Amino acid sequence: MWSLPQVGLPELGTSVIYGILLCAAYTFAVAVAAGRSKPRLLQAARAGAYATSAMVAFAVLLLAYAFLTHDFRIRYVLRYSDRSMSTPYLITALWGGQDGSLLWWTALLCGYITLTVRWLKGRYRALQPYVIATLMVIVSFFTIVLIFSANPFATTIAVSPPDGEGLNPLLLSYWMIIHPPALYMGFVGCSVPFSFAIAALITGRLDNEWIIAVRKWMLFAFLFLSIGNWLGMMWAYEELGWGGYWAWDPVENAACLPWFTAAAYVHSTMIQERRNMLKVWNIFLICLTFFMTIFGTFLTRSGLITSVHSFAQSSIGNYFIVFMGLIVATSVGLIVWRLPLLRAKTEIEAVTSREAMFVINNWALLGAMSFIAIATLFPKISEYLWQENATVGPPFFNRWLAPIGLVIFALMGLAPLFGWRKTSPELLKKSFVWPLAALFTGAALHLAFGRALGFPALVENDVFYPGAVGLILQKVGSVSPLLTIALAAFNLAVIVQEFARGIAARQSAAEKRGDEESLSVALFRLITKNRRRYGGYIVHTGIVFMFIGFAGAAWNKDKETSLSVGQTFEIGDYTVTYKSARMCPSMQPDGGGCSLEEQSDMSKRRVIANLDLAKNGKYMGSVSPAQFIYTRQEQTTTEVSILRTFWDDFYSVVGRVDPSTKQATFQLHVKPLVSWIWAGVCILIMGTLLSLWPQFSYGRVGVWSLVRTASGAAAGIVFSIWLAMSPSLAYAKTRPRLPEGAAALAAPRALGSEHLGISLALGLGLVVGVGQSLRRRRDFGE
Amino acid sequence: MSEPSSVNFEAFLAKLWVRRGLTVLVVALAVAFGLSHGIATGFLVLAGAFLLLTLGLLWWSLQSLSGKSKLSLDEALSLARPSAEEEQKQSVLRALKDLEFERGVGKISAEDYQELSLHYRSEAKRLMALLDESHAHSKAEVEALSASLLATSPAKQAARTEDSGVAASAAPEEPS
Repeated sequence: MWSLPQVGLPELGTSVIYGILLCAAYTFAVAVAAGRSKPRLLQAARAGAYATSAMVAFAVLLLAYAFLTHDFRIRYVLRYSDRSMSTPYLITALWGGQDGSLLWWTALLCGYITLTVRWLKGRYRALQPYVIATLMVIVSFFTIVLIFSANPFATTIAVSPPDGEGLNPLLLSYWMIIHPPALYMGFVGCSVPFSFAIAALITGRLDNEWIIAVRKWMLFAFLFLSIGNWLGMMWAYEELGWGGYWAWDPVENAACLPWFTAAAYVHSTMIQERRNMLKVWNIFLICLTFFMTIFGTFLTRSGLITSVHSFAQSSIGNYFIVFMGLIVATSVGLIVWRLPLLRAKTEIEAVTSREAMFVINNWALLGAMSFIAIATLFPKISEYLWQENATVGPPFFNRWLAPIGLVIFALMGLAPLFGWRKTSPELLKKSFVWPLAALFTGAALHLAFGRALGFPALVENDVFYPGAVGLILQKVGSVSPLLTIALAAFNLAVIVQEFARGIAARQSAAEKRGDEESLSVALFRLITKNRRRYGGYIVHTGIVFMFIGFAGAAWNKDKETSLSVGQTFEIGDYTVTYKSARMCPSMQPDGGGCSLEEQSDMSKRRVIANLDLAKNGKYMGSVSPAQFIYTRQEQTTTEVSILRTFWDDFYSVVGRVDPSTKQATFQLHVKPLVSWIWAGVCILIMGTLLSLWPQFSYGRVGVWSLVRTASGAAAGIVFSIWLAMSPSLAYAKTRPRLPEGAAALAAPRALGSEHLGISLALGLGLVVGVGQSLRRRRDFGE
Repeated sequence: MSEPSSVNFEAFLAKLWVRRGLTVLVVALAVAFGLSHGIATGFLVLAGAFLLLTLGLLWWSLQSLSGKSKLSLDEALSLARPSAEEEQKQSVLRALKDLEFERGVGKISAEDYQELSLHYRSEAKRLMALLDESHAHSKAEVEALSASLLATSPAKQAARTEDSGVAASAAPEEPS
């Protein structure tokens, strides 16, 4: 294999990081100078921004090369990889630790910068220089952190050992491949709206047009924040083995904070577009969203708060504090400076208006965000102010956020029923009839049949606090399933009504033109002509599904038991039979029931239990919870096994297994409606994509361009499918230290499929790249 | 004025098919080396390409900064940036479109629709008048230039056409 001279890689990598800082500083200076309307300077700044991005890509590729060649002179490579790791995990290790993940963050930011600068060509000429300058400040900040506190190319002091320490077994999961990049994409994406906001404030171009651009970028960030949080939930649910998807861990909370502010902005920006109001509020929300991404990163990486997935304690927290101070000072200073331009010329005329509903909705979202932020920080606040240790756990969050969530859920349904400015009593009556009917019908049906179906409308709830507040929270908790189902019916009725009204309006307009539109044609045209609005309603549908799924937690059944082989156990409607257990690799001549892979994997010992499941007497399938004992790291992980159905998930975890008697302890959970959450997130993603999809007219685009766009989209989808399938490849190729014979058998297959996957990805990337480069700007009309 | 050789090289690189060809070549090389010498080598080829790209872009940036490189056609065209009034006009037109939709789905009363529609239309008219006014000077300049071009002899006109284009000397004067 060809290789770089082994002496130079760490030094080269470090030099490149210094180079990135220089390049970003140069681009910043040129961009600021270009702000004085010098087109040549702007061209130089644009080229500088591209060069900075290319240099960051170079650094990332160098680090990937170091991982792939096991260059253990580099401390980061030594700590987060070993020779047994497969190629996908070696690349994943790029963001497995503090230093590399910061470089990865910078790389994603530079990806956004490339897209933004390219997209800006010929657009927003006045804002461009300051957008580029702001983005360069952010790049410079991360590069400074890399240089002074988290250099991924720093070398080990001692002589490089023959093998690395390896990735934490908990991170050897396919979720690790996709969850952090998706979440980072969301976090980093908030930098672009922020840079637009700063540019608009500096130039004073604070009219409504720039927010159209920002809205799209914010939606893009919102999309990835949703995907990232969803993948995080799935990871927690399927890997961590504590039986839930959201533990209100500080790092989880930090990840969802910008989601709330981004959601608030996506709604409030409509008020500015329509009514020329809330300019200060919108700028504030954009700055706050970006601030929250940095704050979340600070929480995760500074070691300030104890969390299951915090990075090691380090000194980078101080850098983040300074940067957060800079963000606040700059944003507040510029807003105050531009206050005369930002003042609204109109005001809210009536409470019964859509803008009033959006404002209330904004406050509720911001309230939820503030509540989560303060509660997350409360242990530290308490320690600092009162020198007392306080713990804020999941029960606290669950109790308090149930009512807040229900208010947001109700407002989500209410807002579309109102018109802009004010809504007349007649229109209100017309709008509310069907949704209210659905609300009461849903509540009545739930009360009548819920218990019989296993989903009672009212649930038992213990008092969390003494006093009136505790009593109120207990009552709200008891009725929250009923309220959720009723509000879900209300929301769905609102959405259906909105679609029905839109279709009727289209059909009526077509009739007046002497044309005719069938239901399906009218629906299709309604959505394609108003993607933002109806994409939003589809997002709301996804949220309805998610809320129903969250309500399912009220009907969870959790049991712990100890069983011998052949024994049965009842939980909810399920009858569990403990069939067998096996320990792999097995010393028995027949392999003890272990598969070839289980027998040959020497990196860990597996204890696997097999359970058969029957529901109301009908066989449903089997689950195989396991424990993996990693010999090298001396660490045990629980491997959850789940049987998923439409109505509930059977979730099993195996605890201790006696090697001689095979008696085992199990944690068994029946979790109703969890699948609805995942379905809801998928619908939410589809709705957001629809809102983001560019508006283009068939006539202007032409057949060939349409085919190219469709091919690009198809290639993207195939690539996504491959990405989704890659976990199986990654799983299959966690190369164990194999015995001689087994290694000879296993290696060629693993290597072949690995190359196939990478080639496929590169090939598809090539197709997409060529497709995109072929596309001309005239293709899209909006 | 730039050196002829550097101008030619830049012009060569500026061609779309050259850029596409280079991209395809790099990816093909990376895949080929990745398959034949191991995936790490493929990454190394890509890294090398990005290093070259960085150097090229920095060179381009410095050339632009020093005024030695040509202003690209796109950059020259984008000098006619939308004014604040144009942005406002777009916003008002969008609001009008939304208003029509609101009326179609029965979300707004007839009186409110009339009032708002009137307001948006008068605002759009005001902005268009402002834009016409601000463009009047440029229109007069273009008309004068066209008239002088038409008045010149065909030979001179041909020579002028040959010299024109997007060269730095011919690019619109940079506003201060």
